[in-house]
Amino acid sequence: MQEEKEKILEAGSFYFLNQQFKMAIKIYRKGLKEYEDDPDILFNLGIVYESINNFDSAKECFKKVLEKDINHEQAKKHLERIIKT
Amino acid sequence: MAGKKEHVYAVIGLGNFGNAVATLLSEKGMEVLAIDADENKVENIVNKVAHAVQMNATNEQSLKEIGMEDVHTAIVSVGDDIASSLLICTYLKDTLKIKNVIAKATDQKHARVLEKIGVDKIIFPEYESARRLADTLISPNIFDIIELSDKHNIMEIKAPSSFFGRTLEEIDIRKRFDVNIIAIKRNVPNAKDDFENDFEETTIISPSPKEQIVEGDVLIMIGLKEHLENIEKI
Repeated sequence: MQEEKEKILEAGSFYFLNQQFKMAIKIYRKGLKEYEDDPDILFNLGIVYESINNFDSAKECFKKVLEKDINHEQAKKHLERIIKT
Repeated sequence: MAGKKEHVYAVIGLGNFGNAVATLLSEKGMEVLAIDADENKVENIVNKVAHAVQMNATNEQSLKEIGMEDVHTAIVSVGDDIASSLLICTYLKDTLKIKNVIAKATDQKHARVLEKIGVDKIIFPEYESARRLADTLISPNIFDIIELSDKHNIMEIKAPSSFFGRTLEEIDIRKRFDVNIIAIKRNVPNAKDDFENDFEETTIISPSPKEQIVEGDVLIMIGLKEHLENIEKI
């Protein structure tokens, strides 16, 4: 994994774990400007949105992940769960 | 327990609905006998109600032995197990002569049989679901509404942003809106070593006044319908 991308994922997870969701979203969104449609960043962003009940944004993220990687089991699981909600 | 008194309740089936009702009645000072065959569900409620018993409620003799004769109102919420629901309700009405039996029906046929065996109030999940769906479409911050009576509801609502970072004590919802928060659903973040995010869904039953609300919390509240409507407007 590129060093810069790993830093983005690490920082985003740090804010997410500390329940600073807005900051986590900001980090991932910034990361997506650098790494467009990156499935790792998109998935993590989707999880943040889902955890704060922003299901529409979460759904968009998981859909994009699956466009890039149809076999992403976690993204499939979360997307199905949101659709059933 | 001695004598049939209006403040003595039994809740049979301690799923999400049964647990919430039993906890709420107990908090309101009622004497609650909570029953489930699942040991874990009984353990979850043992400190919140007067009596919690792990047993198969379809056993007539066992129901007699634990003092069900003293219960004024029984709420039967045993999920999709129609046979058990009918058997339990029959014992409650015919054998134990419980004055007020409330039961959840899975469909119209189930409801008709419950009615024939003398169940006093039947809750229709389909109807409830439809109404809840309508309510949630109108108010997207409301996740669920359970009608407890003509006047009272249990409502699940997304915590408003003005609550974030504040404790229940600071928000003082009981004083401001005259409703009670009986539980908080929270997604607790976690991440793997490779920084892949995930979260775990937890439910904090009877949260302490020191509990701090965080973004994403879903508040489960009980109160008069008109008071709950005021919360929706925040």
